[in-house]
Amino acid sequence: METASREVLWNVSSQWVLYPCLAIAVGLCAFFLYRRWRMCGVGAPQDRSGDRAKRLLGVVKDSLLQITVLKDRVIGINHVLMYACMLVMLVATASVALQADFGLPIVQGAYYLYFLSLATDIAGGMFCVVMVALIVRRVLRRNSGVTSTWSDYLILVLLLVMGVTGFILEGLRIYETADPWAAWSPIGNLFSYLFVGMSSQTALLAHKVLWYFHMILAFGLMATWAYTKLVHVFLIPVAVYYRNLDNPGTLPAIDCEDETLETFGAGHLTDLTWKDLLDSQACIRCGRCERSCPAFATGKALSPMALMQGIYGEMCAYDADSRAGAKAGAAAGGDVAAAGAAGGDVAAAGAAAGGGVAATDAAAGGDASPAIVEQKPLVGTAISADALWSCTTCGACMQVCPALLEHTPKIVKMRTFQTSMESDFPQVAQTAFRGMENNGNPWGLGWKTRDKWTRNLDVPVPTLGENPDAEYLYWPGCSGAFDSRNRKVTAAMVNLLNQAQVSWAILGNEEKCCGDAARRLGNEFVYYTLAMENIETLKAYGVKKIITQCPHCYQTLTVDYPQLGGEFEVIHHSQFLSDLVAQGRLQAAATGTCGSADAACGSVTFHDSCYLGRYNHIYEQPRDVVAATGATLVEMDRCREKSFCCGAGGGQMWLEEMGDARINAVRAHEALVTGADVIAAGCPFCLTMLSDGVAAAGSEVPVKDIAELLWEAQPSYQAR
Amino acid sequence: MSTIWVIAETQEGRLKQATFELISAARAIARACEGGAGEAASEQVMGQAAQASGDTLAAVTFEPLPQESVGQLAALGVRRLVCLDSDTSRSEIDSYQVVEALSSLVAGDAALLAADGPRIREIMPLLAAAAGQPLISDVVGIPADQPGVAAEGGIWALRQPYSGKTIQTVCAQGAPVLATVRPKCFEAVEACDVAADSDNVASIAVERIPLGKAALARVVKEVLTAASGRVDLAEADIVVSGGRGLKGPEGFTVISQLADLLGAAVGASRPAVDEGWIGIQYQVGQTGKTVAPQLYIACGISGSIQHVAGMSASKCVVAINKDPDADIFAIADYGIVADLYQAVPLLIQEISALKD
Amino acid sequence: MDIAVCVKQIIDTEAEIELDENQQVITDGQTLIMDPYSEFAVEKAVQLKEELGGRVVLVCLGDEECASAIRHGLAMGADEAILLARDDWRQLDPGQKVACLSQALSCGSFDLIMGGWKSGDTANAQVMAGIAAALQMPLVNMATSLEVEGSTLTVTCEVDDGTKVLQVSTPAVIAAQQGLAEPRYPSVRDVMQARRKKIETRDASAHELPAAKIRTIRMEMKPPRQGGRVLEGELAEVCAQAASLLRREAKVI
Repeated sequence: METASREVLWNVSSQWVLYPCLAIAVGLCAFFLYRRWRMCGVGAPQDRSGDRAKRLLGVVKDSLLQITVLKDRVIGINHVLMYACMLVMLVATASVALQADFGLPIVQGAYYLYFLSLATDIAGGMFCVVMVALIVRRVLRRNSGVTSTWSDYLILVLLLVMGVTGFILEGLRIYETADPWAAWSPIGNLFSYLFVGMSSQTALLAHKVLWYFHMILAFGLMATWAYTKLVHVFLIPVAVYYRNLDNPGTLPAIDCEDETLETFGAGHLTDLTWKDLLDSQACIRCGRCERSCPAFATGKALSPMALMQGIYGEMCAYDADSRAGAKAGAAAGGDVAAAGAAGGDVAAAGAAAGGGVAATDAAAGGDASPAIVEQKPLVGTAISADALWSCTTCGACMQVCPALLEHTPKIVKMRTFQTSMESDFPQVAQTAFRGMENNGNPWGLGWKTRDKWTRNLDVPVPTLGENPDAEYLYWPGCSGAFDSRNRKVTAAMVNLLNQAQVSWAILGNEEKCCGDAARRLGNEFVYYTLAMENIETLKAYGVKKIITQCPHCYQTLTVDYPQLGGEFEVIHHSQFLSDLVAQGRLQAAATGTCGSADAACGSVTFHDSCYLGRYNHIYEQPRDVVAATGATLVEMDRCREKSFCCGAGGGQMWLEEMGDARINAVRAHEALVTGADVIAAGCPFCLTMLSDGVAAAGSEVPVKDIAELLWEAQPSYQAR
Repeated sequence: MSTIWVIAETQEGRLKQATFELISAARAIARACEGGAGEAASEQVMGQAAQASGDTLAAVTFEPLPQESVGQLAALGVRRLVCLDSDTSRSEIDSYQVVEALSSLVAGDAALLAADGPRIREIMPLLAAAAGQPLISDVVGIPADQPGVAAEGGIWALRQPYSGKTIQTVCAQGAPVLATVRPKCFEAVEACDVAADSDNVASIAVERIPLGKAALARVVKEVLTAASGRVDLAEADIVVSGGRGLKGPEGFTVISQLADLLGAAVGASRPAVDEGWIGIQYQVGQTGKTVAPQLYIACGISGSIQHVAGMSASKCVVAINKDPDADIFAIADYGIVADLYQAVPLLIQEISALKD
Repeated sequence: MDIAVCVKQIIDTEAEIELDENQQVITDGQTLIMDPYSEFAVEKAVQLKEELGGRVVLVCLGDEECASAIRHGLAMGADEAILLARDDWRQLDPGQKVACLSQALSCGSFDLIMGGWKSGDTANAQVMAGIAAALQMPLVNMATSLEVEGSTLTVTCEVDDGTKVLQVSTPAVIAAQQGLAEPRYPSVRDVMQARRKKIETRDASAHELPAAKIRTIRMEMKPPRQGGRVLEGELAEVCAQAASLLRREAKVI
């Protein structure tokens, strides 16, 4: 038996024409890539070098293996199938090319039979099925969460046509050559039966015509690859490589004392970094961010996907304007040069010629470097003000994004510009800003009343002034100190700390708001002032370890303060309490009582707050604390990294919620349907929001902090 | 012998309650000047007390009084009654016209008292400046037994500056000393026995002083009376608020009844607004309006800090809530643990009984 | 239009007040802010300037400590500031404050003089009227809206049972009530620019003042509201008790 093989480029003549075609296609692809690179180039610098191994590992995980893509099961599997099938077909095509162009005799033998014939045939078949499935999905879900443009359909259809024509070609070849190895190409073989009875001449002609059609289509796709959304194949690995390796809530450090700083935050396109611009190009509009966004889900103006697309649109417009501006500027500059530059106001001429474009670079005369174009503000073009101010910075969008794009930092940067530079923010936030400024808390309650909570306790609460040797600083935060509901959490913490004989103290009235809400509402100045004062106080007392019950304080103290030189070991109370239980310093109860004498409770559902879970990966410790109360943990459908925001983050606590539904109502409902006896939280804002949501639902299920639950499970509490 | 004047303001032709409070304040001043002359004197009507101290009581009005009111004032010891005569309606009288008339009228006398209110807040400082006399604003009390008042001379009064966080005793020297008196701070003198003392009624004649043209021109374009008589939330002296405990929009009917009775503004907590029971302009709290009334009545409001931040500067808080553990009770001066649908109608009943 | 705005610095209205042994309010450690009523006036003045041109000059009777309030006003958009420096400014009686301020104001030729109708701390509520009288200008007190057309000011102000719309000609004195304008929140850019604006400090300590007509004899802390008192008993009794307490104890109805 002869070696299994087939003639490559059977029935194809003048194949030389492929080379210029290929060159053109590759050239165009390269041009579009260059254009995209150029568009990113106008962004501000940002250092994303370093940690190469880690970055590459991420590319393997999230681009090659598509781990995050697979988290959305149905579409993820479809995507990975499509991707795998294309890879197989790419290798097959490359193998044929290697033999045809470089004479490597590889289209033969077992490799030919098993891979080039059988595997590729199956892959092609599967590819076509997936394409059909994806088209059907887009049609069926067009009104439920999947928005498609005509180009989305076109690309799918073209890819499907590629696959189908491939099989027709194979069928014609098998029919005409009576391929003895036809059985190894089962689908192609099936197609060959279509042509039974066709004259040889017709078959050869059809094959030739179709072959060229197939190739033109292939080159066409190749040429436009970097122009269409298919460019994500290139850009997503790049975006993944340059992803943020720090805490996802990391914001650019701003030194408010630097008098040379001209602008804070991102007001215009070029204030965004090249990575921000890359993100907007790498976004493939898969819509996962939108589907996970609490603001979008409750009818607000925000869609993280639309934000990416909005920035992309502005970037394209800016690129076009600056090209036009450069040309006009060059022309004007040329004219002026020709006129002997006699008093000609080049910049003005350039501006006039460019139509509102100030072509200052054109003074150099004649060179076509991009001119400085008058930019439109981002808010109002890339994103609406309503959308900008409805983000809770919960980070769900970033969690689900298969390209690991960074949505919320862009939003916060834009808010920074709006608030710090333009003073253009929802007016209700003024109360919180002024409160933080004047009294160090967002409610604006007298700063000397911060330690009032200590006065109603039956145990002494030492301040660091009184107990300078304390090992831990306990930081109740504004809610824990001022809000009567959260003061109960603080009281529970005090009892637990004392019971475990922890050496601790508070700052008392010297504590100020951490500045989280100010910063995430864009008020860098107030944040900076508060942070610097706190850091100074903490340093003056030589504080090393800080316990806090607020994930927002936790995030700010661990992620934001080091930027200003405040390095402390910050421990969330869930971490601290679970450690104390593990060490046996606090008791773990055998059965759940939730402490309440009136009702034994068996089950607790825990709500993961965004800044505890998604931002800081603290998922287990609060659950350990709940377990230590003896209660059974029941999980909500959306828990851990999929958790749904309570609605208060990103400064929303201090704004008026718009839209048709309340985020906290949605979340409270999710908690209530678990049927748990108690809803537990580890964040003062979540506690407030969920309590409100539960009350609005007319339910009386208690909402408690994990510290309260643990304290109520202690024998010493029950002995009272 | 010197005179203490009060501005007797009217509403719908009748003397305002505040006028009787002013007379009470005038008596207190007279007593204090006399050197804290025993309890016996305090029981006497001003006329008698004044004779002892050499002070007489006089009143000035912006519109003619009905005979019954004249009688009431006379019965209360008013010895001189002046009506500022104008050809325009009462509300169109310009402050400057009043200032000019008053400055010559009260010159050299002991005191001029008026009840604090927007109109008085313009007249009194202008008068003080025109006459070069001191004005004590927003008086909440007269120190009853000041040692050395007589020696020091002048008029002593209590104020509450720093948003009511402090009590200030001031002493003013002037002829006259002007003072605006915060309503409801003095017990109104009883003004019932007009007929019993018909001699006094006969004894005062109403003098009429025509108002001249003001030297500084201010043209009155328009006078708008507040449409519903409902006070503006942010500036109201009394606010009655409802929260989730109302259980429905109909709850605001009950709230409004109480508010109307007290001349109060209606407020709401965020849940009530969120539920759509009342408009967002009524929201009190962190993301709503900040209020600092003399009295805040919270009905069915749990007292979350987001709400408390908007009303914590209230001088007196009444809380009505079913839940005895509600946080609102921690900041309430008077807490009523009850269903508001039962408590509020009872409260309305009791307050109207008091008002009559 | 040239507008002078009298601004006052006060202790933050939410602050817990403390007195020293001389019964003086302690300002050390307190947050000092621009009085909210001054702020309404500054905002309106800046809005008028933005609309009509001219300048806004802040006039503040105080001491060096008042710089932060003045800077805040400059950040809001005022162009210049004059600090009438006197260490004893807090002890002056309203008439003396009027004398200080009106002397400084009479030097400039202002079309409009604005200020708060009262202040959040001493609340004497008469300085603007005093200035108007001293400068022979008409006053509109408790203004809640202000429109300018040429030299005619149309002002809405509060009266006992509603509002009144008045017209006066410049120069005039307008005392701001809440509602006149919603104070803006200065941006960082504004704050930075305000740092470069000049505050002209005039020593006002030598200024001859009339004798004080009002003296503070005593200052004491009002016991803070305690809260937490729940009335016990039958509901009908409780309500009767509440009504009576509101009248006799709280004196609010």
